[in-house]
Amino acid sequence: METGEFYELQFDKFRLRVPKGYWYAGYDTWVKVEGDEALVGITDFFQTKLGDIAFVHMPTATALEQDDVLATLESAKATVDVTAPASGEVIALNTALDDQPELINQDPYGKGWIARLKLADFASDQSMLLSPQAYFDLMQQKVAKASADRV
Amino acid sequence: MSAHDDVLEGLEERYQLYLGIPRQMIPWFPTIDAAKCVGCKECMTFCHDTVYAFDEEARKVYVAAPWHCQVYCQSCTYACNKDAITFKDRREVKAAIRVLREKYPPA
Repeated sequence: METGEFYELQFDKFRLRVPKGYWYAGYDTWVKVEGDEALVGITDFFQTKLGDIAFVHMPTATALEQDDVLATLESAKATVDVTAPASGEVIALNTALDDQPELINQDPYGKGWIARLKLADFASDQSMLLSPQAYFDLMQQKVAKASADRV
Repeated sequence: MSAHDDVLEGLEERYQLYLGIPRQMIPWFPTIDAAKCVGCKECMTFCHDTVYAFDEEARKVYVAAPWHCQVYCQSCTYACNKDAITFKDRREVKAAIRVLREKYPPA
């Protein structure tokens, strides 16, 4: 399904969204460019798969390269690394996640952002990223696989 | 040259390509230190991509399907209580992918 603002897929009781205007990495993280800065976070699919997030371990590095580990998330199901979709200097971390890690589950593309980066070379990063439509297609394949695994 | 011509035969379609690059050319997969592995199978339980299998004779886990491994996922390392699982350095892998991307440009 496609609306003006995002692509959407119903999966069990979940509604998985892929907003337009963001760029995506195949490993289920997003980057939202704002001038020469960007916010990064995880996708709806990723947070759904992980379940209720209990802890967010933020990066200690001040400069990240695309594909470096951005943060580590702990849920009841698993501990997983989040990979940075873009390169840049970390200029802010979402400290609200310290007390409210559930913001990632509730609003993964908004209040659940993880870090703000000063972009280093987004034109180069972009060649490794997916458009909303391309990521939505990939997510559909992942959802199909996840559904098949449950049977 | 088409990436589809170079995919690994026998590999399930969903694992064949990463960003349009034949998956088996990307050196991202776990390595298990057999001396540390106690055969608890936590990694097998964690990984949904059947990367791991159990060697009944040795009573240890081994990497059965490295190309099923999701590039840059190394979350199974957290499942392992013995620190027996390692991956290559991400930046090395990234450099390799950049080179491969020139050979297999995005469609």
